[in-house]
Amino acid sequence: MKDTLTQSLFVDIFSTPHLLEQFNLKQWEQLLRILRGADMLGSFYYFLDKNAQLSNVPDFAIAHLRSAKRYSDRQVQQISAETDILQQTLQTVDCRPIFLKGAAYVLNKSSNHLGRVMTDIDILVPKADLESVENALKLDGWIEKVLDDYDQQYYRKWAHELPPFTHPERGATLDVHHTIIPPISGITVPESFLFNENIVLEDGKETLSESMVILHCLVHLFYNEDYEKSFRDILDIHLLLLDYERNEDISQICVLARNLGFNKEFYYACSITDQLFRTQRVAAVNSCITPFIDTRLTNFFIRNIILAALIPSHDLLDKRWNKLARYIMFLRGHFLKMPLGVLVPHFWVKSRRALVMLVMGPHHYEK
Amino acid sequence: MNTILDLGIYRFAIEHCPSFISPSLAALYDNSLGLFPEKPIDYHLTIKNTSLIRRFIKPQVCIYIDNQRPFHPVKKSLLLPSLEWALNWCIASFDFNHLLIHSSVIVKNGKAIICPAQPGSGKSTLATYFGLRGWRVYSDEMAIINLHSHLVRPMHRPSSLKNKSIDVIKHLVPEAVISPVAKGTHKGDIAHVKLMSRLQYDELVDAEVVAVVFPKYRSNQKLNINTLSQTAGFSRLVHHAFNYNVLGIEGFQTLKSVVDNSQFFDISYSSYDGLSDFLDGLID
Repeated sequence: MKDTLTQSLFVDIFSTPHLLEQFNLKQWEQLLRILRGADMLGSFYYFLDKNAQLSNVPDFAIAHLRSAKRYSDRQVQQISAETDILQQTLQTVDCRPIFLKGAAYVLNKSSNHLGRVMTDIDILVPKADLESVENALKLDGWIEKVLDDYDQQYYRKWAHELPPFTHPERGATLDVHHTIIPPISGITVPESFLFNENIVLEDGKETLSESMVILHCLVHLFYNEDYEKSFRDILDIHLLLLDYERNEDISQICVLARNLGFNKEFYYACSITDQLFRTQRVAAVNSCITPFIDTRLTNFFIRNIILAALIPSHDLLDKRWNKLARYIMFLRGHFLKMPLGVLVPHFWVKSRRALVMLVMGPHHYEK
Repeated sequence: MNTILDLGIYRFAIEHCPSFISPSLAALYDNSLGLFPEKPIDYHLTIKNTSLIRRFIKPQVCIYIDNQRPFHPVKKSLLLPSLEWALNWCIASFDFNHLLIHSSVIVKNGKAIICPAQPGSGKSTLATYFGLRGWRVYSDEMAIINLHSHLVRPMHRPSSLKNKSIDVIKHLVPEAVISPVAKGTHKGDIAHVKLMSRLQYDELVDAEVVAVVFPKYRSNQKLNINTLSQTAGFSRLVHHAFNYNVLGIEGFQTLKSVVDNSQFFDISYSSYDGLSDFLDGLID
């Protein structure tokens, strides 16, 4: 085995973990750097644990993995505490928040919650409750991020969330959503899919249903524009699907995806996890999905662009094509979320402001 | 040029390390520079120029830690202090295998005194002075305490002095090996002082903490020593710990063990004369 860690070797670890037994210390060093850059060190500890590989990890590497595990264990614990407080705070205005993304994985104890690092907590509330939720949060000490007037009105007008809140005492950040995809994308998810049929946990906290959690995760990934750390997201989708497939038939998600207009995204997820993690998902959902998409074009796009963009962004792995693929996905993400009529003025305002800040200093637009 | 800095506990690689700081690194780190080239590296720093134009006009350099860039770009002449901060940043951001306390650590007869303090209190100057006068400095910036043995561990690093402290040490210890002064960092003027050779470092062993001294340098003031209760000491230590909130029960047990074995003092001083006897008394 050569000393350098290639893209294919990196990916193969996740389907064939015993490859690690052949790793020399230099390869471990490279692997740790890539995982740290991708926010995956803690999850990798648990991946090794699940695959009974921890005892084969050299001392040098296990120290780094244990350290990352300690950090993520604490974050997972913090999520429980923060969600408790949020639940109580919003009870005062009779709102039951739906916890999304990382918080939902932690509350549902999904396979992908172990070793996770999270930058914020995401909640979903009915659009009609936004104002009362905002006020209740402020009473509890949450502070809305100060945005310049342009960004403020952009959030309010086009986004599917309020500007982020921070809690200076507890050091937490909170995103309040009123739907799972920006309305500007032209797709509306009916409120009944978001606020009915949810999972209600013992303590009354709620998350989306298991299939909606998965759908949200893949919508989030494939409508995203930043693919620097997206390997973690595709691994999330894979692990969530594995959990789901244990009790349910994956074609049910397929039907849901079709009803909501996320056919293509669901196909991406199946095809990509097949290729990265050696699953057979496209075969399982074939009859349900392939009649509705142009598989030749889609497969070309997946093979040449998405897969290249998903490789963790790191000098040790990146080839020129990966950077270009990530850039294409960046443009695509913007384009999906903003029709040209909005995108062009947005870029115009943003680049003009960047120029002014270059001349007048970075704080010109702050109040 | 790629350079390795072996601090004993941690190994750093500095990629594209510009040759102009090599003499300073060689003087401060001696044999720890480039030590054990075959062993794996814990943290990688990469030094990059900021833009093509900046290569020629007002050159700036930037330190990357893999994909992250925690600090603003700096003038070339300020690279050495930035590098030292980057080392601290990596340790504080990524090492949750030790309890880290913002503190200097001085050791004699295998017994450690830790001096936690806010920046500007004089903890580095105190450590530097005593490090050049028979004590061993395990760190002038953070106490690195093993979560199992509860012993404090040594790093092979220079100390870092700010502003007036540089002249104080030059005056008191004229023979000290001091790096060129980096003028005008965001913390003022900075110079680094070599406190031991690698050979001396290799003789050090993990040490038990026996006292915690909160130092406060005050000009023109007699030595003033106040004993603190262990309860007050505990809460002050929590306040100075970098990662106590992350370590949970292991952090508590480690800190409790340190507190159980330690005496606690607040001290203010303007000269090191009387201080020496006091510190010697703590390790007898």
